[in-house]
Amino acid sequence: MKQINDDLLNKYIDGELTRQEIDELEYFISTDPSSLEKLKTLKMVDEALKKMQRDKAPANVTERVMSQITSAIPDKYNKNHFFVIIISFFVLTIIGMLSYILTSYVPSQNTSSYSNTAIEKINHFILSGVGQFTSIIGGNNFHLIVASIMLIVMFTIYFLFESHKSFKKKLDSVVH
Amino acid sequence: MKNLTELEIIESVKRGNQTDFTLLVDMYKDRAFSLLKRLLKNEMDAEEALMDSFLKVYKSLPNFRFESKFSTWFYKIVYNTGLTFLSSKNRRIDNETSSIDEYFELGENDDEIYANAENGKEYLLKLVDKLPPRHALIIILFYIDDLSLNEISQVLDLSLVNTKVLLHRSRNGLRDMLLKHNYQEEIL
Repeated sequence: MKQINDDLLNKYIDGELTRQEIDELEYFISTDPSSLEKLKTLKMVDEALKKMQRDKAPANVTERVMSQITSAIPDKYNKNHFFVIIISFFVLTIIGMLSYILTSYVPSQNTSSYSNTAIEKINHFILSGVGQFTSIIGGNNFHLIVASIMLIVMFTIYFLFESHKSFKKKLDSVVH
Repeated sequence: MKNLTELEIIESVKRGNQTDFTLLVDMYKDRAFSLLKRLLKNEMDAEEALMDSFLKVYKSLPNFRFESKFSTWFYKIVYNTGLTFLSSKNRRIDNETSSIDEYFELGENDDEIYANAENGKEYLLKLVDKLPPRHALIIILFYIDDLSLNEISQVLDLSLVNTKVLLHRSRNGLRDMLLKHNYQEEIL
């Protein structure tokens, strides 16, 4: 062992020395009262620090933290629930409208004589569909359908915009 | 109160059960406050930083991937929040190199501390509060929170060697002050 220094004494306290190093240190220390006193006091510091107690956080910290979180960040579950309802409503309405358009399609009877091949059948279907669509557009239903879609789209955009604005505002208040 | 493990609480909060976060706050509020009080050297600042810390932990929890112990990840957020708080108050912790080479003089206010301490133990605890922030934090994390030196080095963003150096210096400084007042026989 070269020399007894503070680093060695600390390693002794932390149990980082080998058996041989411990024996050497104990031998040298027994001949050096100053080092022995340093080691004893270091051990006392170590023992006293092990008995230190944590400071208690101020009262009501948990309630205040939760209140801050609730006001700053919307509940994940509620947020998802809200968006699911809006999006489901929108999708169901669109599906309903498409169903209405498709069920109102009635194939014409006078063209069946020449629709023999598959390509001819598809062509016939498309042409009939376009004709049907044109008739719907030309009819009174068209205004009703467009108005309903626009209303739903506007409601959806409004809710999404408001939700985004509110979230951004809360996020800003958290960051700053 | 629910009887959940730390892991179950974290997973529950990540699933969106916001109220289960109260369990985590209850588990960690004293630890975080002890750390922030030593870092900021002021109870009111520590309280404010404590609120910010928990808010950041809540917001960052979805990103916690269990790649390290939760306590290490948590203390790192608390420590960084404390540093941000210090910089906002135009105070700062020196970088690693200068901090390691930093000389600290515990004897600066010693007369006052010694006069107000009723015994050796109280004197020692008051001295811990007078240690430079990083030195004090290492003492708290090592002795009270039972973090390993490796975990402490991750929290404080120091190398393992430098973490060990700071711990040794802190203990040596405290020891020298006890020897100065002949407290060595009394403290235990």
